[in-house]
Amino acid sequence: MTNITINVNGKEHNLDIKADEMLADVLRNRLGLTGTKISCGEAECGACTVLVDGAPILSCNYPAVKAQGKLVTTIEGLAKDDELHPLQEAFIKQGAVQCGFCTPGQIMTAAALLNEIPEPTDADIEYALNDTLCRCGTYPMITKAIHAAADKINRGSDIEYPSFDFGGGYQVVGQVVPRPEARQKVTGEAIYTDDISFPGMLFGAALRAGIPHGIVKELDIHKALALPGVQAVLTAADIPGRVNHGLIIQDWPALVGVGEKVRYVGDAVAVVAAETWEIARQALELIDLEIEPLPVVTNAVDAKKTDSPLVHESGNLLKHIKVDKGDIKKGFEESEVIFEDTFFTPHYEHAFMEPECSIARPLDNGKIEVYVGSQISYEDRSQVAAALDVPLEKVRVRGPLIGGGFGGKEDIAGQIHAALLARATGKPVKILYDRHESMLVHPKRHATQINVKLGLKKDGTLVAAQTELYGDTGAYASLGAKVMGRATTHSTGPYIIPNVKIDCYAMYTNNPPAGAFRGFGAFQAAFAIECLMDRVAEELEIDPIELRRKNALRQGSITNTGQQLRESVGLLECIEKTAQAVEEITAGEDPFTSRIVPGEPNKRRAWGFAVTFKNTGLGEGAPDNASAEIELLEDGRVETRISSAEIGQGLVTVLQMITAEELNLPLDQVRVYLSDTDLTPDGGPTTASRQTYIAGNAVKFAARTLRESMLATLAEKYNLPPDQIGIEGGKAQVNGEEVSFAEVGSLMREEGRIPKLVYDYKSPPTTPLGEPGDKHFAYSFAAQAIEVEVDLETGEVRVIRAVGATDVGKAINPLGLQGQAEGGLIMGIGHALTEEFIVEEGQVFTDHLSRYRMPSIQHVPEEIRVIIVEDPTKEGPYGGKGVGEISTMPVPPAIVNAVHNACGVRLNRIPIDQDWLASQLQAKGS
Amino acid sequence: MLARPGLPEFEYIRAGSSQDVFDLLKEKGADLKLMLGGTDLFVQMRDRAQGPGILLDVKGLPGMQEIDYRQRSGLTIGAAVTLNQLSTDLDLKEKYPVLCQAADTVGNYQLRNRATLGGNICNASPSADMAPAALVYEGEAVLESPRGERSLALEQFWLGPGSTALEGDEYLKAIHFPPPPPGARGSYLKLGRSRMGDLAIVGVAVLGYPDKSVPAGLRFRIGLNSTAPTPYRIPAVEEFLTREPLTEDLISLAGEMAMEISSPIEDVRATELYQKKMVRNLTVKVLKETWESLR
Ligand SMILES: Cc1cc2nc3c(=O)[nH]c(=O)nc-3n(C[C@H](O)[C@H](O)[C@H](O)COP(=O)(O)OP(=O)(O)OC[C@H]3O[C@@H](n4cnc5c(N)ncnc54)[C@H](O)[C@@H]3O)c2cc1C
Ligand code: FES
Ligand code: FES
Repeated sequence: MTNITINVNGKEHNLDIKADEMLADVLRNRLGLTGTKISCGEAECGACTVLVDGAPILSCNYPAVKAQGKLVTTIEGLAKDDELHPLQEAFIKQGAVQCGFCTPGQIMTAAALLNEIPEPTDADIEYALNDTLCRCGTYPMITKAIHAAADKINRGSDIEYPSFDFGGGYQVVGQVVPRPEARQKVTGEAIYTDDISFPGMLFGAALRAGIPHGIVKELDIHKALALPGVQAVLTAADIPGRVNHGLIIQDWPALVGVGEKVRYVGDAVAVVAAETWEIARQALELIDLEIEPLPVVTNAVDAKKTDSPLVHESGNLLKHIKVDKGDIKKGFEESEVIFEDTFFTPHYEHAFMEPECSIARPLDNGKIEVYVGSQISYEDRSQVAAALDVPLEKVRVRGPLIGGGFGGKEDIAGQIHAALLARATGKPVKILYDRHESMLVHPKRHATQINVKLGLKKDGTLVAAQTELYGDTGAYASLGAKVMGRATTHSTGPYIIPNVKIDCYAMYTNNPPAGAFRGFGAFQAAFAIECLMDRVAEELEIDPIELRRKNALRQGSITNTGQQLRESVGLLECIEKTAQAVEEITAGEDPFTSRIVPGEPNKRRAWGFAVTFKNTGLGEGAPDNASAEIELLEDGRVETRISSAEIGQGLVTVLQMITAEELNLPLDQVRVYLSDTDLTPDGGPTTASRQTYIAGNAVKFAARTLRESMLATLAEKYNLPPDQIGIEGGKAQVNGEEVSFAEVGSLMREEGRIPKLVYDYKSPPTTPLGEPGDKHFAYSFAAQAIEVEVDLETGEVRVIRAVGATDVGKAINPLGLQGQAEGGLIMGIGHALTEEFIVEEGQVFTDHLSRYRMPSIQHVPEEIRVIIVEDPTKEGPYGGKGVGEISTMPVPPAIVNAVHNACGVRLNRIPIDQDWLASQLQAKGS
Repeated sequence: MLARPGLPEFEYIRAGSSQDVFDLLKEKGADLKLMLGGTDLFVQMRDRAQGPGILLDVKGLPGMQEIDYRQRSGLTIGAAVTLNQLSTDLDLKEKYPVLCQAADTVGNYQLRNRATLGGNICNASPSADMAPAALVYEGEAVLESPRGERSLALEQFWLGPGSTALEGDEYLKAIHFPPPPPGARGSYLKLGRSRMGDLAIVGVAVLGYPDKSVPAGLRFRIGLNSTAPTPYRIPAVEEFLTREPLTEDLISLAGEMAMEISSPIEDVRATELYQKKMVRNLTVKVLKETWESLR
């Protein structure tokens, strides 16, 4: 132990610490300053940035002993006496906060920058914030916020909200409003799971297989159990209930027992609870584990071969998904030209900034409480209950804030392990993954191989499309069948095609499982079809935009699954608006022709184009419902409750806005309470871009029903028809008199009506593939144009400009929408240029953030234009439909098409390999 | 497999004098690591279950954080000078601009507040970004031991990946650079996996200056990283470029020669062939730029 004195945010602390304690740990664990976040622990991401004597440092790798005698400033120390620092205010107003996990690091780095350079340029900001990563891709708004803060500091200018040329139309809905939880996020008060601790809490950790396929021969935990400080070591035999978990198919063992098979490197074989992390870790090392290796299968195509090793006894095929429309044979016969090619997309890692964390706590009443940042709280509850073999009511799942999800927080991570350990020890147990474990364990984006064959008339009219897809769903099913189902139905693009045949194989392999990830299969499909469409355009000498326009789905069209689109098909408008914007920028020059960059003879620029569509909601016959509760509280405020996840997308804001709109209330009179299975009804999974629509509708109708019953009470009391009673600003107007909401509430209570109700919303029905009817109740559409610059010598590709239009039905929350659109674009750029989750023979190579390069502020295009098309859908709230996923999807094909236009090389796979591109360019040149 | 290796336990000691360092090195040598910014150390330690038992922080030794420039003898940069200190030092920007430029390419801003020149040199990483610039300014490692002080040219200091000529009782005190030749110009160009920030696939530093004694009238020093077991200079190419007045063709030939000499190891980041070609392309590019700035 070393004794140090440090001054943190103006307060002296004298502490006895160990030399190997990092400043971030001391701040978080000893001083309770949990505003400083740990995301990677490897000096890669900047989330843990604090100031030491004014200089920004990465506190996750800064030994606290070095801070002896120094002044430390953390995010909690930035606001002075409740008055926000201009940076904090600007981050809120400019929408520079999404999931908020990176926010403290961004703000602290920016604070150091402003101290050094009071009036930073964009380049200064890029320099300072380089590698202070934001997976939500909030960089453009962060840059604007820093400028706005500088203006306030230097000139006292007020910080304004941005304005947009979309949205509007209602009192609250469509207006620019801040996130209700933004203040907590910019001050460090926001609570994520790891920020919670309980007295006597233990720390849990799992022993992983480390071998991608094999049989557990020996598992000896005696030595681990004997280690002082260890309170439990559990193996599969200790699971009282169901051993397997899984969202649809329960094929994923929470622990693999002796004699059983491990199917990927991240499989857990034992879990430990101990008094400290260090002891838990030592205990794991004392476990004797022997696994007899089996041959591995590492890609979906091999997995389908008859001689492939079997991942599951039932075979490697998770699902064969088929679509048939018209007569494919006749279709190709009638075609005048046929194009065919095969496209490849790799695994991708969500890399949400907040690694998985679960805390399970046994309560006196025999219940177990699980705290977890999950996208599906109710599903967690049933999976934990099944593992513990207890009734559902014995488990309560509570959701703190979530530092990003993108689909990666739908499956079980540490929830079951923590609950098992809590049950075994009778104490609260926390399981926190570090970045390495997170990358190793949770499901990824499906790697795919997609073959597309298109038949057309010479004028570019699509006649037939046949696709064959292989999806690598890894060791366990997760949502694989659904993901590849979406890949299937999106694989022929948003086009009118009379004859379609699709075969898709979702295959098990010994790679990490694959599951939900923003774009959900449709991402991969969009890449394949849009790259081939571009080739068609080139060879038929049709303008790429014209080719899309000609075939685009429109009102009345029939999709490949036989669904007639009756309304809200904004694709043509997206195409027009994007084309117009590009024309404006290029001043009439053909955007798709390569141009030499002035002064840079080795660089070429050109634009590329792609369109896409994405379903809103689960669809294909899955019941898609949500229940919301609403209550008029005694103080006159209204609380809306639903188990749906805020993962950065802005759901809290949307639900708050909808409640306020329906009840004509000021926003600050509405509180939204999410994700608590005891107190909030089931909003269903936060997936498939469904929450604004489904949860939004549930809340809308709940609020409407509350309003009606408030009016009914008043009508009775004042003997007036309800339509003569007004409601505004948190008050009812009756006979020229004002009755506050609080009074209305007490009137209702007096009458025995409880001003609280639950509304169960059921979305319009859908039908499974192969049956007539709607497969989905709504689709969003998008067109994207991207300008790239290719370095002919190095093969490097850079995105210069991005112009995209998305049909979202209705922009309910414009500030959040802008963030999702820009963030999705930036993630798409990452997927196209910098990211690839690499697995070699079942072993994860990209098991550190330093090996998985997500886009940083340097990858942000010089110009981004977000165009929003609002073609409302009748049933959606105010016409709205999903937006969370679509913004990422058209980006990689637009980039790949742009690269071809710039330098003449066609790519069939992403990410673009600069090495390969350079060799192609050389081969072409010589 | 442990998914969470974590940091092994260690003791932290701050050295107050070089005698402290000598004593501890003698006593605990095998179980001790010297530390400056620690940026590299901690990341390495996290990935291993075992680590040194003691970290000896030598940042506070006298003179370690100083930048000292003298017109006659040149520049001495204390081993503990941080990369952000380097890149903002006005004297340095004027006289040794390639060093400043290289410093800006290392990691990220926060990291550079702690990462030091000494640490970058002692890491002996083949891809160290400070190395090519330090080579073209003919840097020498100033080493201290109970036996006294000695200086070693960097080419001799680096022995292989992660390996240096440091003796068991020695530590790096400073890096010394002679005054740059009059009229020198140059720059450092780094090619990463994406635009910037990643470890270098190839990095090339060039320093050019007028020299009437050779037919070309100019001399170039060329330093490279990432494409051999240690960072290196390419004297054969440098010499070739002095033989006759410079032309674009000669520069292209020089690029080809550099490519031949380089010996990169293929990894997931890049194939061997690509790295070799990039050695050529980048060498040609920086040579041309430097030549132009000299005209
Ligand atoms: C996220 C990240 C990104 C990085 N990016 C880059 C990059 O782009 N380019 C690059 O070149 N490097 C990079 N590095 C590597 C590293 O940060 C730099 O090389 C840095 O300059 C090392 O300096 P330091 O002071 O932190 O060294 P330390 O970590 O303190 O020490 C480095 C090594 O030198 C030894 N040592 C320290 N002091 C002495 C001494 N006085 N005498 C003898 N030996 C000594 C140590 O024992 C250790 O082996 C990166 C590191 C991280 C974590
Ligand atoms: S840099 Fe410290 S948590 Fe990522
Ligand atoms: S807001 Fe930056 S990571 Fe989510």
